[in-house]
Amino acid sequence: MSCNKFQKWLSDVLDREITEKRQQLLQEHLVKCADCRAYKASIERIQLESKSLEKPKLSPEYWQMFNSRLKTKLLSIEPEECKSKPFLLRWKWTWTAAGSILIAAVGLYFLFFQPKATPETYAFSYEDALSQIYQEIGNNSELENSFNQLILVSIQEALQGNLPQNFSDDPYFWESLTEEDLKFLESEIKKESNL
Amino acid sequence: MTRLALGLLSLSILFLLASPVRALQNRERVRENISTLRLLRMTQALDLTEEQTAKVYPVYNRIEKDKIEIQRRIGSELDELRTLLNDEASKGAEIETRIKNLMELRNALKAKDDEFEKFLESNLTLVQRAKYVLFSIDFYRGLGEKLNRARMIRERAKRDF
Amino acid sequence: MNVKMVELSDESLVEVAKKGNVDAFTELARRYQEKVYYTIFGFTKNHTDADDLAQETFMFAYKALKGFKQKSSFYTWIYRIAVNLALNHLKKMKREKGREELRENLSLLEDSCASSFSPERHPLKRELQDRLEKAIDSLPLPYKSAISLVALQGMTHGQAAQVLGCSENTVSWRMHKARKMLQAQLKPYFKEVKNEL
Repeated sequence: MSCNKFQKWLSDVLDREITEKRQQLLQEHLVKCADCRAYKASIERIQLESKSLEKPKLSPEYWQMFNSRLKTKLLSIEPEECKSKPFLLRWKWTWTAAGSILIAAVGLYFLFFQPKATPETYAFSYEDALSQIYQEIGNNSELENSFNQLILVSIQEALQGNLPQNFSDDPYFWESLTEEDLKFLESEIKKESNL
Repeated sequence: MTRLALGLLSLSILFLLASPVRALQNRERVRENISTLRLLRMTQALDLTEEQTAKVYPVYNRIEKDKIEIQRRIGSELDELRTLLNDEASKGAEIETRIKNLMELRNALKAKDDEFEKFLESNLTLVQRAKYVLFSIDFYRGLGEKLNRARMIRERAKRDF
Repeated sequence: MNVKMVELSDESLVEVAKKGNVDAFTELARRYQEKVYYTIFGFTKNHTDADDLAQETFMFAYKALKGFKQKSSFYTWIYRIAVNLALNHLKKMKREKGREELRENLSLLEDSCASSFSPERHPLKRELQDRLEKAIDSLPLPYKSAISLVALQGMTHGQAAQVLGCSENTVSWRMHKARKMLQAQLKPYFKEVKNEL
């Protein structure tokens, strides 16, 4: 088991979120590993210092005032404010969107009436890649949400250490690059090695 | 009307669609998530040391925050442009100013990316810089694949529904 | 204070408040206002903003109470609102910079609240705390949220997961990664403090 795993358990110990069995294995590892012992000392120190970070010390009178202020505001809320919006108002933006889609389609036709750039064309510009993504999503909020979900899953995988295999080790990766990509990479690497 | 102006008109209309605050917030949320994923994957792909991570993360976050701010300003400029286009009394010079502002903001956005890459240059080894180039291709392609997958999911959901 | 309200459980107070009883809701607010405030303060590092956002949290909750089906506890629900408002605030506003502003706000508080600062610390320890604050602040938002709720507010991973709308496992990994990042940033300062003290 790697030190990364044990160090993750050290984090769980601080939050009291570790099983007894793991605690035992951790202790056995700490006896042997100076790096992990040092890491343990560091994060314990951070935990300690975090607890004493300066926070405003507020008096009981302040909290009474806070509660009174809140009560005054709540009393001034009209009961109708708590009701949901009228039906038609809720659909206001949907009508706006529906009407605008038609106009947008016409304008987009003129802007994008050319072969769509493949992702590779924007490979070296983050903002251009994002821009293309947003253009494709357009005003489709459901697509946007689905896309966002997939991003979140990937974040979770990355956090859990489930990495995509190092892509450059994959033999098929090199085959999937176009001639242009390979030439560009070659020139970039040559430039770097000449610096 | 020029192609560019037509294109900007379309963009402004797209932003009109997104102008409800909630939609803008959604867009920013997605951008932030992509940014987080990019940072995580970059850390792994470039095999950043802890010292490099400690340097890179704050700079990356600052630059991403700056870019969000620029995006917001682009949104405001597009709103202004839309208003001008809807107003028959508006002058050509005003419209041209807005278009110029938009181009400048767009360049500012790209400049932020350049700023980050320059920062990486001075803080990465040669091998890491080569890995960054490869990582970028893979990451942007991956985004496109995710979008396609999201599209398929939506289509399947509609069919099943 | 209405003695009866104090005796009611959170669930009962929610049901009474849903019928428009302001006293019931202010009792709920009284129970959680400090925790909500300090949670938000952990993000904003500014008393005025934290005070405003805490008030906004309860106002928002009151207006949305009819839709609250009590699938989670009121405590979790109000925390989630508070964290979302704080995160939205951070995204909108430019961060208030520096401990100088924090001190300024705190010294204003002293006049109104008769509170006192924590005792003088060794200057190097103070610098370490400055660095720690900056380091926490520079964390990406998902990690900063996790650290704020778990390490600073003392929530369990499960509670934080409910507030943040993610899995417990995700919170656990975010805590680990956040600590790794903080440790990497602060390593040089540990050595200095150790040598001096």
